[in-house]
Amino acid sequence: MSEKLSEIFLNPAIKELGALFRKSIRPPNDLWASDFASLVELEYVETPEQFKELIWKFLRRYEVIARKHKLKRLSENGLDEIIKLIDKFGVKQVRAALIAHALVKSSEEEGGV
Amino acid sequence: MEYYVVKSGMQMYDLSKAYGLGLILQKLSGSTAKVKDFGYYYLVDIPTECDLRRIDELASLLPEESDKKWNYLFLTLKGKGRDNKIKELKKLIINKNTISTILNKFAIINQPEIFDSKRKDKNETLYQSLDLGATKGFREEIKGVVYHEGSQLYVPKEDFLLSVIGHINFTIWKWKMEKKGGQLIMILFNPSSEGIRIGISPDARDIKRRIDESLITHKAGIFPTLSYAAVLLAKEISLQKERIVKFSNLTFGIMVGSGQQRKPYGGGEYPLDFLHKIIDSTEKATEIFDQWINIFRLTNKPGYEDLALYLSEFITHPSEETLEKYLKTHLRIFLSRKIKLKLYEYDIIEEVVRNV
Repeated sequence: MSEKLSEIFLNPAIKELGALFRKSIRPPNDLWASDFASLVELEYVETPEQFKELIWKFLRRYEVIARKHKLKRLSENGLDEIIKLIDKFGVKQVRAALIAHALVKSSEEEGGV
Repeated sequence: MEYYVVKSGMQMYDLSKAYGLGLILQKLSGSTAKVKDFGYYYLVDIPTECDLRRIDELASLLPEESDKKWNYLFLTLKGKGRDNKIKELKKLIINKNTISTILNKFAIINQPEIFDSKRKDKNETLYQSLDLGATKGFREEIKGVVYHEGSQLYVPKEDFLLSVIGHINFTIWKWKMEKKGGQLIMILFNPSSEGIRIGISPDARDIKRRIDESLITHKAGIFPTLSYAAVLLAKEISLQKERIVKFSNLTFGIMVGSGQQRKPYGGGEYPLDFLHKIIDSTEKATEIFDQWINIFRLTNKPGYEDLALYLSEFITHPSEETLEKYLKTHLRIFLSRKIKLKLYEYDIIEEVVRNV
């Protein structure tokens, strides 16, 4: 069993960022354009520094949508925690956990298992 | 009563013999037969003694001559040769001497017999379609300028009969059609040391039949086809309340068309470890398998092969890397909206991650 991956997946900060990521690439009722740029960039991230930069970029993009549609933002504690997780576990595991969250069916969506 | 099928090293031949023996014992005893894999041999176990007065019931273990399973089983035989072989087997299965020989021979631990020359009326050719290892026999040294490809293998008639019965009732055959010829995939489910049951629900034949009906050869290739079969089997196991029927792996062989002949293309064992781990660790196992079955079905078209391949890779070799590759591809295809892939419920993906 990969306790690390499971631990990251269950981490509240990852859950929080995962939910934001999910919303930005799978907008409810197509209310805004999907943020494919962040998704593509996420695939090519290799170092913790690049990953942190990507999160900043993603949050800036998300801020535009959040302002317009009055969405919840990532908490400051959550951001600190994610930075710590990247340093502790590395890029691959945090990215895998984030992508797993992006594939979770949200409460408004149809088509879950 | 315990019976033993000692392994010869030819996986499909050994396993089919064990299943064939299980079916005969079940019919003759009228009780439940269990087939278990104990590494060195297969143990076939029945609670009551066999009664040879039931011998006529054995005829039902071989289907009509027109049944297409015979075509797969005797793929390398043609026309009259095949028809005569089937007629011969149908007589042999209700022959008291043959069945008595089987009951005596397998009641003790006996080394399997394989010969490189035919003894009239006692042996049968072991065909490639019964086990790929039988192809061309054992290769011999090249001496001088004469090249010798090796001898054909021969096995005792009663062993041959058991293998035929086992294959006919337990093997899944699937064609993978291609422009030039095609590939024939043969799959047998190998029991675990806890074993499978014949003659009582859940009967291993019913499990095999349901999987045979659902399984399709995947466009992405043999690997996803085997993974698909493995997930279908895992779902069957997860649906059992007491999990009394357990398999350890999938034994498979592949033949490919080569001119007028069929040649071996590949074979081996497909692991079920990860799928068993999921079954044992979560009550959501059936939902996880349903999700993956749905993926194999939806990706069976050009353009989506990568998802089926990455999912197969993850199932056979679960790691953080293979999981990430699979999830990324799932997400990309989901977002393209070209096929209706399902999303995961939170607790289901949590269980998948937990089991990596």
